[in-house]
Amino acid sequence: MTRTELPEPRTLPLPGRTTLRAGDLSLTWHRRSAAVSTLLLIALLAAVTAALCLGDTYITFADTIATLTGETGYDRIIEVLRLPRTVLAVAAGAALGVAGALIQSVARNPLASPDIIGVTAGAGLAATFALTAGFAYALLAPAALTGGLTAATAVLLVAARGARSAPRFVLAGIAVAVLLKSGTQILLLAADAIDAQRAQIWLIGTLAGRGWTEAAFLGVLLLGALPALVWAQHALDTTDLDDPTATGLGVRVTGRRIGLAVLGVVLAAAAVSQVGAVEFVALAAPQIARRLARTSRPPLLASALTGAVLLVLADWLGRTAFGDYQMPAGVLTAALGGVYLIYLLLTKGTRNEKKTAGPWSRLRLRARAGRVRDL
Amino acid sequence: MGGSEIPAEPQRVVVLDTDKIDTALSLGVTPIGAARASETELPTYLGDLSDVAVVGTTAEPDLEAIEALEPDLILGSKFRQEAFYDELNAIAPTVFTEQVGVTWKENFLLDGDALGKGEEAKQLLADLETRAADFGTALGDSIATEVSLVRFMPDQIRYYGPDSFSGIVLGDVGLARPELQQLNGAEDRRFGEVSAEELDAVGGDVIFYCAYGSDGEAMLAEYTGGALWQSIPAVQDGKAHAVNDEVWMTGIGVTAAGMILDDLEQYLQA
Repeated sequence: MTRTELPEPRTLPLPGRTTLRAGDLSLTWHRRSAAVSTLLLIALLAAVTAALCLGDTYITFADTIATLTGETGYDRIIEVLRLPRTVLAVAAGAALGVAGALIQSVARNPLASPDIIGVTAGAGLAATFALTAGFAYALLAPAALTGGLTAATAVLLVAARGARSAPRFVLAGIAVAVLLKSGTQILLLAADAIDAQRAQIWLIGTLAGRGWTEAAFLGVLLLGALPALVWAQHALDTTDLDDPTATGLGVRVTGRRIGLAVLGVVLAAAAVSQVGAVEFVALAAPQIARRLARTSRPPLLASALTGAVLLVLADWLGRTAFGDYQMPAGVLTAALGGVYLIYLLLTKGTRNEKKTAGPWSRLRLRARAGRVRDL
Repeated sequence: MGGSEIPAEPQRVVVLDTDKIDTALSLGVTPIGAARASETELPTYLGDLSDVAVVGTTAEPDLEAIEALEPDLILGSKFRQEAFYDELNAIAPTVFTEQVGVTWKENFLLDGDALGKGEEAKQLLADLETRAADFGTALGDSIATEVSLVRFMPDQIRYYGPDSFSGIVLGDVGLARPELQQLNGAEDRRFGEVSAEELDAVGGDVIFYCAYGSDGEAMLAEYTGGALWQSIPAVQDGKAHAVNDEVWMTGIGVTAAGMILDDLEQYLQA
């Protein structure tokens, strides 16, 4: 029997994507996502530079670089007061951005961010308890981490009973979060004024007084999660399919979804345990990234970078822009992220949303129809 | 807390809690920087503090502003600034007191030691206690007068017990307190809350009242103008006196305690 020579497989160009092939290995990426990620990386570097150079004391870019590499008169300001919390802002912002992107993708709902589905509320309740019950300071972060993960487990268990649908997951999360938040309120009302004030600041989320320890914890976690995140980026392509299609293609949707959700929840709980219940980064960052990249679901890398930019900017503005008052970063993440997201919603709808968007898009459609005829 | 090298006579001191402003000034040290309480500015009862730089609030100190002052000693409260200890101690030797209020005398002595004025601190405290005891003796039978402490806060009305700062000063004099305000059997004997509907339950032959912040002032104006407050016997007898909240409540220190004694001498002298 002669072996039939198979024809060279025809490579269909994927729209908007570039593929590199080397033997059996291939790498495909979304071109606009890659470009957006590069721009976000530049924005992040700019934000970090601002956070290091500008403050009560202005330090030039050259002096900042000199301080990072050697000794200048600014070692204490840069290396003790500015650098640690800025690095932490990058790590925590990235973790929150990725976590939001993962959970929103799995639930196929932008509302399903860790702030809404109980992770933040669980961590908040545990941290408030730790602060008002007089726990040692070192136990604060572990308590918050445990609280966040426990709450998320409860949400997953509630959502897993009966039909495992995405809206059910979101509803279960909101219900659990509301319960937990009322528990936090009760603790706050009963607490001593000083304890309640510390808990309030934690619940808003701040990077003041935090630094290398927290940054190292999140950095190691993010590095450790990197293989899982690479897998997640690939797995998301298939979980994005609707259930019958995915099942028809032989994809084990449920298993993947659980894996992706667990990854997101762990990252979110870890980030929140270190910087407090910083709201909105996990919700807004993926949506901002998705609109910038014009993809159907939040791209992971761009979401991480957006989260990092948001938190670095919020922390920097909070400690410099309000005179002697140190505004906690959590107040400003909501303000910055919210305003920018509203701007994007108003100006840059996704393609689907643009269909009904007035005469301009009709003109563009006509132009496109013309191009199709020319083909 | 901490094993930092404290200079024998610190010259550039930053204080991060309100009691420490009183402590430093009582011992003749003008701090170069001070954190303010979140609801208020720096206290006014200590005279002109315009040379003292404000370095954020007690809960959220402005670390860069503190750094820029180049202090040689930082005094703070573990309760409030524990998270900032590493950063503060990198800027200058930092001494934290453990608790607020109840242990104000120990805190005063510890901060006095850190300021290189331990002996002066002991002397000032001893003088204060002697003055309080002498005043108590001079009061004679009036010592049985039940003194009531009421404070209007933005969201509640409090009475203050024997473990509060002003309660401790009243205790040093030996004055009696209304049953309710003795907080007998309570775990926390600093203060209790009274609802607006039972404001007349605070009791006492003489009432000293004050308000925290401008929202507290609004509460005070509203309730002391009301019929319930006017029905209290001490109020009808003209024995309810408005006093300075900074002195009686937030001050906490020998200077504030001395001014409480001034008020008591003024209003309780037969």
